[in-house]
Amino acid sequence: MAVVFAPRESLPAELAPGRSVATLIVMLARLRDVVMAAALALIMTIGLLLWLAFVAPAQWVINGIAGAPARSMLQSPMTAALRVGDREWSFVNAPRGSAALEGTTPSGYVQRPVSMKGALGAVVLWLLSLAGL
Amino acid sequence: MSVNTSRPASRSSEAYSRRSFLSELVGVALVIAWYGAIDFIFHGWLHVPYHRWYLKNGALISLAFAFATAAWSDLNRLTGLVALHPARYFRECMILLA
Repeated sequence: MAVVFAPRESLPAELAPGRSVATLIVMLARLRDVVMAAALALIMTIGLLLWLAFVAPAQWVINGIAGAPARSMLQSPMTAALRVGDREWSFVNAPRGSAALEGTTPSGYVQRPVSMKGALGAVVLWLLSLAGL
Repeated sequence: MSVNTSRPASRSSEAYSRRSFLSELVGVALVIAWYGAIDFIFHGWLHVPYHRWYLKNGALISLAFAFATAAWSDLNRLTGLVALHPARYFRECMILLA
């Protein structure tokens, strides 16, 4: 603030009164971003700690069921993939990294095992909640 | 000169599998204890059994987790998150937290 009220002739061009207010606004905007980012980081950290403490053990139990397809796909030396042609689609089952897999779309369990486990886990939990356990 | 290494190798693999099995057993026991502690907290705090709370909210949490890992595709490299071995699973959870 001292800069804003200093005599005009003593200020460098970039800190002239009009520019100083603009600089102050930019600084406040940056400060707001820093404060918001810190608040979000804090919320995210608390959320992840709560997830680790209260959700991860139960998720590990569901992981035993929902993670089975992803685990078997990851352990297998073969990769299942889909080849989309102009007129027909075909399934390819070939060794990992082989030329037969070029131009194919690998199975979701190979590309995104963790996401697939999460989606399948949600279905399993939904079915279990429907069963009223 | 040929050296028969099959016996020590099989012995070491046997020792490794025994160690792995024991660590898995200890891990499962720890998870059960952890589960019990959470259940105790939930009973005291929310007056609801932990498994009921998880069954009610777990599908949404799992779906959110799936979306988060799909959007942040690097998380799919943490394949330990689908592991059955508790130590490996929780180690990857800690990496995720970090």
